[in-house]
Amino acid sequence: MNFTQAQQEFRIRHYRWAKFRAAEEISEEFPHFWLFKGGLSWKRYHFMRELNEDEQKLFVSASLKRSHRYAAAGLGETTSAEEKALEERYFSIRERSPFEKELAARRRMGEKTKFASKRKVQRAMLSSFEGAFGYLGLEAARHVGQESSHVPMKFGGWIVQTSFYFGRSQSLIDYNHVIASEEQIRHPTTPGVTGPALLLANALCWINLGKMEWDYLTDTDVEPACDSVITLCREFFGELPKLLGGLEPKNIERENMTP
Amino acid sequence: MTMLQDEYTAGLISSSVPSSRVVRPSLRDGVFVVSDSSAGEVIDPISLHKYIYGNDDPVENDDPSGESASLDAAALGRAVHKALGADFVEKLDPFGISGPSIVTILERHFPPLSSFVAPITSRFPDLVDIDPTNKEVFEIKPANLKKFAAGLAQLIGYITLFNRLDPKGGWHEGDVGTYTPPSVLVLTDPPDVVAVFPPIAGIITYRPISEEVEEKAEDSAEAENAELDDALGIDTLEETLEA
Repeated sequence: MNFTQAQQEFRIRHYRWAKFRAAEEISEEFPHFWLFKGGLSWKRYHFMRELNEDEQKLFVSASLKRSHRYAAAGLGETTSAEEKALEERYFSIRERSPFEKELAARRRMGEKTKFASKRKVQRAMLSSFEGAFGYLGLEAARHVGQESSHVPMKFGGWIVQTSFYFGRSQSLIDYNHVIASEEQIRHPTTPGVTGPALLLANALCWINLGKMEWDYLTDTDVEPACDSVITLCREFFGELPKLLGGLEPKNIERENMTP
Repeated sequence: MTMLQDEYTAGLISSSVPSSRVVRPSLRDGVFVVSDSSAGEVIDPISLHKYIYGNDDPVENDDPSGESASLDAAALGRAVHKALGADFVEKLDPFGISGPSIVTILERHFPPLSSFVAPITSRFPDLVDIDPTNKEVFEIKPANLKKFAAGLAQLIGYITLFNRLDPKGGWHEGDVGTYTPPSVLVLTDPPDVVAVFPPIAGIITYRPISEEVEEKAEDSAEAENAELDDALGIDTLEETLEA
């Protein structure tokens, strides 16, 4: 198996798992989405809750085909007219969440809302991650100030990195995984800059069913938000043996490796 | 420079010291690994652009020359950036990114970088497609020539930086085939209707419909006046009188 084949195999496995889990989410009424207070994650949840079950299945199917586009294309799956219509309906919505409306009203009246500091959110998230997945000294993670933290782990011969982004002007938690080779290549012209020789997948977030971002975090929201992230990470990590089985770098034909 | 930008500029990107780690039992062969400890420093190309000031935050910045925008225009700019950012993220899901700095984007999706000093952490491109087969960057600007030129300089700086920090390179300006913004945005805060134009050389431009309508009305009035003048023979008369 060469790298391109391994990459596509991973994509298809992730997509199939996503479809299976998304069907469960629908039957369980989206247990992972209720915590969102605003933004795109709330919008998706709010929209899905207004659909009947058949429409939910169509919309989720369309969303997964979009976010897993290479796998869907590889399997010959295309978006139906009904699915497209639902997506168009969704994209046209510009509604803000009740919390966002309340926040705007408070701002107009000159009231300030106290949100958790980025430092607090960052510490809590890394501490939760450490508590859930083993000892993790903060020095093991790489940090871009208080903007983001990046925690690499070794799994199945690959580096599976979990990254947390804590926002720019307000505290939030956004996370994703990336699967890259341990083998690094050096930048041809910039000294000291390296990057993965192989990038199996990036922008991974649980089953990739839309944006998962916990924003407008107050002090009391931080812990539940961290718990939600940990739940999703735990599920993803638990699935990794199936997603990566047989796709270890040692099984990939070196001569056919293409980045 | 805003306080927020200052905060980002103060941050350092650090590499860690090697250390073996224990992970949860289900991750049987999981260990924490060591990031590359080699240090490096790159030239920040954006700082070379004379058109760009401060920390180049199109949403937060004001204009030191005083030539640009009022607070209303700044609020409008923020609202347009927010709305287009959301649209981009949804339509390019999961590869559409809006918000983080270049360094965070690369650390999150093309890791790891080595150690760098901070100034480059304060570069925030408006919209980035991190699909490894695309790698496109877009900027959002008001529709006028000066802003377009500034946006283009900014974009070139961002792309240069991406390519200097990503060993595989391949970063380039956003294409209309990758992302076509909605042609009209209806904003609520501040309330306004904005016309949005597809990217040209990676720059997405916008202008309030009120300005658009006003300009078209002026153009139309000028055209009608010209026709009227022509019909009345005024031009001919004036030319004759001048002669």
